[in-house]
Amino acid sequence: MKHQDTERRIRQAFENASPDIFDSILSDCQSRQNGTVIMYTEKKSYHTFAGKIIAAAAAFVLVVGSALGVHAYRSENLVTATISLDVNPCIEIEVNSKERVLGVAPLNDDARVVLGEMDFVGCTLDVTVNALIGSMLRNGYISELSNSILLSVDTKNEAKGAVLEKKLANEINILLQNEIFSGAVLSQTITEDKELDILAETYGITRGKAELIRQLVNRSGLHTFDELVSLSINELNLLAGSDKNIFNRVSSLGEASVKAYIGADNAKFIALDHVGADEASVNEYECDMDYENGRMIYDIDFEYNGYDYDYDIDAENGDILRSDKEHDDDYNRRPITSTENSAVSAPETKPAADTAAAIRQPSQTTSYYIGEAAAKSTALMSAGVTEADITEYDCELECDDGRTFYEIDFKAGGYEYDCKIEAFTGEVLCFDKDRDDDYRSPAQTTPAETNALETKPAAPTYIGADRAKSIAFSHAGITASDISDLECELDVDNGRVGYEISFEAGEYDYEYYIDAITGEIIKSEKDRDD
Amino acid sequence: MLPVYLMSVSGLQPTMKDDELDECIARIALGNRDALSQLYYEVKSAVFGFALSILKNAQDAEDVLHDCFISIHNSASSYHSAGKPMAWIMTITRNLCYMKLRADARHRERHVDIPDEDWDSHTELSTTLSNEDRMIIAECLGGLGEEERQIVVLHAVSGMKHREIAAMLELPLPTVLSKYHRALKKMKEYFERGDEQNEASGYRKKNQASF
Repeated sequence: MKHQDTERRIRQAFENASPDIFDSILSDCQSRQNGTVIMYTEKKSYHTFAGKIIAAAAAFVLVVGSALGVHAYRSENLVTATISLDVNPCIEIEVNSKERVLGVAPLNDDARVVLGEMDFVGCTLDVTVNALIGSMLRNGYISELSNSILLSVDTKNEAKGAVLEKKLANEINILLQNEIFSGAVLSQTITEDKELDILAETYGITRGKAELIRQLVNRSGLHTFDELVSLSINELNLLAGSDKNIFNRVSSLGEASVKAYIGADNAKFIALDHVGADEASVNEYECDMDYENGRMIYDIDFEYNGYDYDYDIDAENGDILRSDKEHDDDYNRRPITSTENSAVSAPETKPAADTAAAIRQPSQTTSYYIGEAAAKSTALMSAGVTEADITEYDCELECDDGRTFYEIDFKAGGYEYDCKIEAFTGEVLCFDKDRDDDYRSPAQTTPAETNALETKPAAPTYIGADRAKSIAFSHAGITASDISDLECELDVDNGRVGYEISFEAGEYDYEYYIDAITGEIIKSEKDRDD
Repeated sequence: MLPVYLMSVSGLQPTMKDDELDECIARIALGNRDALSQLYYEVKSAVFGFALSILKNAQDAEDVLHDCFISIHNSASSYHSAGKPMAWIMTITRNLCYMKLRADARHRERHVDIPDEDWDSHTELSTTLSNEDRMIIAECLGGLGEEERQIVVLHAVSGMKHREIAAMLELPLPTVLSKYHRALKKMKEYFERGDEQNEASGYRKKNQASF
């Protein structure tokens, strides 16, 4: 039996089992529109036996209640505030006006672990919070590595909420002090807010965490809600950095733990070491924690020797994820201009040794760039062509991965060249030579017919991208409709012209290299897509 | 000849694409009743199935199906498409299920963790449901672990991608993939056992008839 058959049988069973209650939904939606308020989530079960028992119990309570005084009963059972605790476990505690617990709800699996078999109904809020924090510590959710907790008091009465928030924040802060580490408590009071309800519901998080993330997103403008929603409170606390004032309503006690990371000092050492700078000669040094592409990073900026540097260092393992170096315009040094570059005499005809010396010489004495002309000649030499052979020449000064280089592109003799020449040393960092698909030999300035006749024997007939794709698809055993991220490029590999085809289908990444003339599959790879 | 179950399921694949679902939700926001009906029949088995896989009680799952559509109706206007309408609907479903579990825990109506093997005695599936379907659901809910059955329903019934499921259940993708394949293997074995038994009994009947 195939997977698909198994899935189909399961789907069929659930399809048959799902009830048709659309009429009931429609009538409830309409009564809502007509202004009748109905409590959807508290809707009674339609016809279970248990439902009837509750109904009977409710009726009984009502009768007894009216005898004893309905008001007293209601005030006892009215939820006046919801206190949520977020670490990674998120727990909601509902209390009445006397701060007696009406219910404790775990919102995720971690929270269910924390809660275990404990029952807090009727307990005081203090006892409940104390027990829950204790359980979080015991279960390792709050630890030396991740010490932050978010406390949110959700109530209509903002003034009372703020008092309760402060009291609980102090209590939790004391509970988290121990010999090994101290905690970090973020606390806030939140009131009714429709947008917050939707955010919390959509992402399945507490309103408190939704509020914290919303404020972070609004502040930075660099992150999206989606990106931050999976972060722990400790990570969010670190993102907020030292400047907690940016939050409107969030108070902060203690410092978020950075012990899970390499630390700002080590990150600084890595960045400076990479540049070869010592601490004393660096200016305007700044280091912030940030979250990019799914990982925590140290974002480091500084000025050194006339350049602005910008580093992203992986906070967990110290890898340099990105390094940028840019000329500091404010720095009082000779700026690089195109006139200066072109002032260097064109060295195409010089012997190779002279050119190399000309290139090396300035870099030994100063940090000046070699100039575009020297870079160009190096590129031409590497390609084995002369100035007269080349067309579509383009040169740009670029900076990437901590290195400054001239990026030089040109075409010559039916090939496209792409060279990167180090701007200080003249070293060839990268040299790419690719067949130029648009190339027509220089003699072909004659009418189109002659053109076709002449090029035919030189350029063998290729099978075409569509044929190549269908060869790949049939080899993979999938149809075009199942495929995403399809790319197809004509390329030359080991002297063979072929179509390089990559795509995703199901849980796999595929890569093919198909001979452009024979259609033979030269390479095929199938990898699980992580 | 195709087995009976295969003949009856043609056309059961989720028919609407994400952008069509998005458009449908946009029309619901404008108060279009047909759009609500269209969405309902498109996703009801996904919502009900997912709710059932969490709650293990058909009556509660039916309540969640009801509440989920009320919620979709009410919040359609504030829905911002992230290209994942199904994930949005399933997240609402999941939240409603957990609210229900919480409410139940609070009222102490019944113990939240029904042992897996007892699940069917707590479930009142529609009386018109065939015995075979009943057994399949029983096996799916009783024979699989909690996460396994949620993942199976989300993929096989809702048509969500493993990547989306991983994001929604906050599990690493490889975990979702391995749980899915393990669960599907169990279900496959169950089906194969059943088919063998059916074949055997069919064979017996045939032989009896020929005597």
